[in-house]
Amino acid sequence: MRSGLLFFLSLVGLGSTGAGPGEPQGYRVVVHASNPVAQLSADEVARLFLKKVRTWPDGRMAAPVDQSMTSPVRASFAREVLQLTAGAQKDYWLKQTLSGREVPPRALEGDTAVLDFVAAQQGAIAYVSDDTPLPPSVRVLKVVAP
Amino acid sequence: MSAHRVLRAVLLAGLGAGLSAGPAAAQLTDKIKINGYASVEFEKQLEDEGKGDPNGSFDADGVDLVINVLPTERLRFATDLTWEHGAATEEGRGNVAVEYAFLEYFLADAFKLRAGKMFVPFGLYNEIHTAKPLFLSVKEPFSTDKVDKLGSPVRFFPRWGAGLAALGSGRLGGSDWDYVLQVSNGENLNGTENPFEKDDNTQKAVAARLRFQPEKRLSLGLSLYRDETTLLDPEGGDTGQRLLQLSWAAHGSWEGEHVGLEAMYVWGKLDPPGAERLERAGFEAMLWGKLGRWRPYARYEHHDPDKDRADDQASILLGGVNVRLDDGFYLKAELDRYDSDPRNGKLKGLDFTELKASLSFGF
Repeated sequence: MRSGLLFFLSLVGLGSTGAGPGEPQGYRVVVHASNPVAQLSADEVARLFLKKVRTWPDGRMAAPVDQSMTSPVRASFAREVLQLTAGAQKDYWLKQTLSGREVPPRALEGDTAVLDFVAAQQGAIAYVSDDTPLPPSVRVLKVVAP
Repeated sequence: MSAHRVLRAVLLAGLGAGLSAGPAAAQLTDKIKINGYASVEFEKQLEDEGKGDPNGSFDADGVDLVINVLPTERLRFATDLTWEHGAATEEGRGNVAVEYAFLEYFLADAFKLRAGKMFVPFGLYNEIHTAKPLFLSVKEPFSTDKVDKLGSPVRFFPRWGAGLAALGSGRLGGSDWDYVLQVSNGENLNGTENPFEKDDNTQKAVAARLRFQPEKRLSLGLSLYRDETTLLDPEGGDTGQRLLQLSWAAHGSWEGEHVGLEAMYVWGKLDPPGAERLERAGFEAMLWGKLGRWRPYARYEHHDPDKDRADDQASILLGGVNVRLDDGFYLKAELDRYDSDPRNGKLKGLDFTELKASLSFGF
């Protein structure tokens, strides 16, 4: 009964379209150490993660990696770089996938799994918590304002 | 656990049966992605007379599985398999279909190649018309996408084409653009061949769409469809004559923080040799608000099945609300008011109102 009432109130209360995954979390955008690109604008990074662009400037395939949808670091990255809430990200990828246009980037659980992937993939681009130590084969990509 | 996670887990468990759980699941989600959608609808005509459904019927509208297979980073196989209206083919009920099944090879951002059966890339709705969670209203606009329901003999363009397509996207002066150019067998209006297997003549159908985003929230586009259909003699033989079908559209959408709008105008002609050509037009404009989970919307549609006649036109004015109940899960309810001229081939001058509602879910 109470849960039904809360559900109704959330509807009439015009609640948000997606649950917030937690407190803001600092992040760093990372790439493979051999990647010749030193910096990108936030808009260029967003286009890679939204798969509006799938290649690096030299033509190599980019391999963007997301963290899980409930990750605080993903929420911060999405809000600041993609300028999307969690709900808006889900809507975006639902539309891309169901219309046959594109599928979302792979999503890995946690900084360690993400860094393992980036260390093994020269075209990878990802984000991790800003206090996570980076292995030698991974470096920070500078993200500048557009 | 949310509903879409449960469904995904069940599907993955079924496909992964017999394999070791950890590595198999990782392999499956990296290389094979399973998504889908479903919708259930209800329609009732409110008056006694009209061309709607006076009984008030539930419709198990559709269940679709969307599967993407990614063998390499450049190659993708995508398919949408649909079971419509509670398909029970043993009893001749409903419909089972391949909505699309194509191979896509990525050469560059500005150039990808597709081969297979695809939706015809025309306007705002055709590529998403079955995926009900992706748009606000219960149905796509009839005035532009289902004109046979408003008195036209055939639609402005077929739903699907089997053939090849080139598509891509890029930036020009800081603005996004994208294009699709599709060459296919086109439609077979005579029903003599399966157009996804065999063309009825040597002339290929061409569909093209170009879209431009002058700024992030605004999209403007042009679409074109052209085909020639074989005309048969009374015995079913090829007369050697062709019916030209040509349609083009201008369309746009804008989505602000609290309000959105879209509009589409389609013009088309059917040009039979030695007979009078038929020119027709369709228009739709939609306005919606964004109030948290709620999206109230209103749409006006108008269709003129023959521009040389003034007494055959039809219009629909609808208003409703789309409520996002959960991730990918939507409730829609609307009232559609139909108005038509006496010589409209489908609605016959009957004016009536329909209540439409649906639940749709995508994952």
